[in-house]
Amino acid sequence: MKSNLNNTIFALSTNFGPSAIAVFRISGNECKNIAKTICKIKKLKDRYAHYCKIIDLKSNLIDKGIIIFFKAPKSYTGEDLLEIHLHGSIAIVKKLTYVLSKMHNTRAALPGEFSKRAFYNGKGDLLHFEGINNLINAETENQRIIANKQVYGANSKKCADWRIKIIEILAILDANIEFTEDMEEINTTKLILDIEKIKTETQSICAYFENAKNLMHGSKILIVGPTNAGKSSLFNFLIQRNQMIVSSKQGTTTDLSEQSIEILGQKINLIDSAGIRDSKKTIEKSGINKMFEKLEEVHRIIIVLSPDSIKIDSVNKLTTLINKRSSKEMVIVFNKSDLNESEKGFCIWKDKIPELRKLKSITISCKNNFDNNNMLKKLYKFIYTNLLSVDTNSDDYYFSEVRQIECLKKITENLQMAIKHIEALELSSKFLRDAISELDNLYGKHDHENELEIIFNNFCIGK
Amino acid sequence: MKQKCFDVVIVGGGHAGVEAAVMASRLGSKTALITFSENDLGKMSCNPAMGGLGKGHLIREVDAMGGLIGRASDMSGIQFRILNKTRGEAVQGPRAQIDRDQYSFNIKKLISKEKITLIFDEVENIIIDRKSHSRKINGLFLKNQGNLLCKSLVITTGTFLGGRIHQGETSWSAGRINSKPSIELANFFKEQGFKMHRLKTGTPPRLESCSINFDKCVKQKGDKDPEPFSFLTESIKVNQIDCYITHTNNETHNIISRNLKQSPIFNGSIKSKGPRYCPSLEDKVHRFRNKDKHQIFLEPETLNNEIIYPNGISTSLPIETQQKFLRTIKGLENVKINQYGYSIEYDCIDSTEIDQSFETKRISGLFLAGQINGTTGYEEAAGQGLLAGINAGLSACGKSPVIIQRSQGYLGVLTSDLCRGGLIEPYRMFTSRAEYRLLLRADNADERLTDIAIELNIVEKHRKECWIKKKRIIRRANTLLKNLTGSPQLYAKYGIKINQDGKKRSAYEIIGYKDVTWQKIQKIWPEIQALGLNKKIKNQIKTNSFYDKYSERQKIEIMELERENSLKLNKNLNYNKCSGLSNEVKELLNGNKPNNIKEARLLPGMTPAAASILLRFVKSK
Repeated sequence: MKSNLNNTIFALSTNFGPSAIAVFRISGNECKNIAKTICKIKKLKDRYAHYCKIIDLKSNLIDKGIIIFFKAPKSYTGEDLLEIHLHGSIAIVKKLTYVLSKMHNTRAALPGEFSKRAFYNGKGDLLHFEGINNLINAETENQRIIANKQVYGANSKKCADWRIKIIEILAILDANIEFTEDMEEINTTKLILDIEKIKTETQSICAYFENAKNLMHGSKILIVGPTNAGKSSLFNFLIQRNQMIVSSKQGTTTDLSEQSIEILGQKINLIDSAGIRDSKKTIEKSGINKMFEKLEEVHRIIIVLSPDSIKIDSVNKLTTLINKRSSKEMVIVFNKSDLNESEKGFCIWKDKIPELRKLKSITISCKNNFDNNNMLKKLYKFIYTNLLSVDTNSDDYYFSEVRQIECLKKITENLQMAIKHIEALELSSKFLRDAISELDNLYGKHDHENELEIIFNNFCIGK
Repeated sequence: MKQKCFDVVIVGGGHAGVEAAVMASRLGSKTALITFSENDLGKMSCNPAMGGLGKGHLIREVDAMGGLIGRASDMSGIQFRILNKTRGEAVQGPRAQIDRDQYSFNIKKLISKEKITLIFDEVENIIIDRKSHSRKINGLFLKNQGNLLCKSLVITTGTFLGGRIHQGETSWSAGRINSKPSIELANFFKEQGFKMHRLKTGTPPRLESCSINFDKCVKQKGDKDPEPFSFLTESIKVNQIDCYITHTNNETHNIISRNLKQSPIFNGSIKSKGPRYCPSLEDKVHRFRNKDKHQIFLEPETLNNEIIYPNGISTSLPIETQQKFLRTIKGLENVKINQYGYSIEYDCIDSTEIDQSFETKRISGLFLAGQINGTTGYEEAAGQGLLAGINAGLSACGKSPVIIQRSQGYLGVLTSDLCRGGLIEPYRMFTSRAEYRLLLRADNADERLTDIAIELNIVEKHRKECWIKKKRIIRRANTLLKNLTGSPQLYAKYGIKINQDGKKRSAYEIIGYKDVTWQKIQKIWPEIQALGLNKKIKNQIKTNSFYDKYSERQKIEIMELERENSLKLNKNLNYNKCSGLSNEVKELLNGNKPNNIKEARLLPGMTPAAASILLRFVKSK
């Protein structure tokens, strides 16, 4: 991304479209000039809501509105920053955009540029800005809670906490290396315990990462089953819309279809798939293949079965599929409970595939219950409890980005190596240093005097 | 009157000055060294010891490049000890007690073999050529001998700039005890607008050996087989002596606590920063009140053992208090004091005033080395002297400077730490300052640096021959060892336990394991014995192999760095378009138009952060 930090940048911060108000943000050295030109305000007060006319370059009125000036460095970007609030009309927004682009040394901001400038000006660390991105994009309650923790410092605090602990351990190792004649015998057992403690934390975060990522970016749930079991009916029922065409004919659905919904505060990407059978039709066949490919990447599966869909080929294929996966990743929806002797049909399924007995199941009729809100809630609860349930209050879900987890994995590895080599102080010290530099990558900072500071404050040194 | 003319003039005959003079003269520059008197040459003004962690590494590096400090120490060392001997080689530091008289004597002897003109005089002024914006060294004016012209000037005046000694409540101007300070030079730097700081250091009282009861102290012996500093020294010929250890006690601490107010550090007469790693005894007592004793190393200053240097109790308390607390210490009950301890405050120049060649940014041709740059220690001074001397010599004949990188040696760490600036106390080397600690070892300083020195033609003929021979032997051995490979089963047969993973490993890899001896691998491959390696070389190969396992990533980093450094910068590049750079740096780059990243990194005012932004900018192009 090529961008010139000398330019003053502007952007519409609210959505483009008719609305009560629209807010423009402008950041850079030209803010005061812009206020002078388009608002005729000569003395801009810092953090004060000026109500004024907003005019174009020929002094024609664009709208009346409020402008607020944030003087550098106390602003979001750390530069002079101007907010202009006007009526949210498409014409007004277009006009002001045009006027701003004609001002001296200004241009439209690139995506994320306000935050990038804020980062360069030390307004926050990488974790903070990654969190802001998540917060803006949060759709569900759980996403909001986690993003809050990311933005408002819980993650950074955790890193700072690890960092200082590792530096303290490193200080002991290095003091023993540098001031060998001043120091008492080193207690490696205690050091190992201290490193182990940090490692346990980073390790458990890595272990829960999948959950955190799913919470933040949505879990994928794949609906599979034999043809004509009612997978698309279930899909439509869950998203409460007749998106998929359903019919009594086998092989109606021939491709994957995805839709995101919220189940009890959690974002879900629901995927419908072609029914499993030995098909001779090329389109359907490739649809089935796609389903199997998709299976590789998803960790949550709803198997839909109906009393009238028991066929040898689908039984065999389903058996292989179920045997491959962990039972925690799958639930069964027995559909078409409205059919006669449906119970018997479900029992036959369980006899044919005994593994099904291990899985949690629910019995419904998509056909009869489409408008039944209670049934829908019951189904949501069933899916949430058995496929999604995670504890959002836990500290372990703060880190939701692949980049973050890659760093944490390396930190964990280095801490492990530091323990392994604790008897060779210089090696152990090297691995702790590597762990710190990974931590710095995670949130961005390096300061060597820190360690010496601790060495000198805690140990009596000096021959 | 015919004016005297030199290529390079060095002011100061301490550890920095001496190395600088030797290097400049070996480069073929007509070189003069100016100092007050002949006695100042190679004087050890504080503790009678060389080396230690980080410092011992520096000595080996200076030696590897042809400097004198290692050889002079070997000729004068009276107790040799490798610190951290039971730990890994990367953190072992050679150290020795030195006979300070012998050291001066030997330095003079070694200097006399070089082509250096010694001038005993006092500098009254430095003469500058002013041409529009730039200032250039022209020469200097000496008190007795008058004008002296030179192309490059290296100032290595230690603690003499505006020096002031404090002892209890009295203080006086001095460069060290019994020497006058350089007031004129201090004024020169102030007038020229150099950013300066005031630092503090201290020294303990010196004790008369015959008044000490050593029977009450713990004897500390040197290593049985003293290991020399210099790669050229075969073995230590000087007689070896013992040191002793005693401790302060509560009574000592009480006396000190009661008299703290008389210490210039505590009563406010000294405001400047002292080194935290070398605190005065009053500092230690005050800050670590829960400690009921502090160690004192009783170190003989000379082989004839008349004067003892009590290491660990530097103090600036009044002389009566010094006598009083000393006599509470075991073994020192009747101690006689030869010279009292004191603190010295002195001016140093902010280390960002120099660039990585040790040349000042303000005045071209003017180089600074040693304590004047805010460092402490003989070894740190020698290292800077060596580098400043080389670059002053190169500059005098119009050649571009030589800069040692952080990945090449502690010399590089020292250089770049100084240029980075922001020192908050006298700078001392620690091994933990080096990010490539596992690679920068005392044992391989020659592998890292001697070739660079040979290329510059600054090493003695003998050193060159020795190193080339050693290099050839190691190369041949490495080639053979790397070609001999075996499976885990083969090794197991000979009692070498490794992971039964079926992976073949070379003899080179195997010898790096701690518990694998040369004897064992020679049993598998008798041809290794035929190489006829001596013990030293065997150790070095084993150590190299051991650390290779842990330094792969570091080596890749270094290679990456070298690759980055060689990245070409287009002359038409508009640095204003590089976002994230400060306006000063943009101006600097637009003005200088460096050819590659390495040159850009060397520009004065270029910070590491700015360099990495520039790098991203260039890579994105």
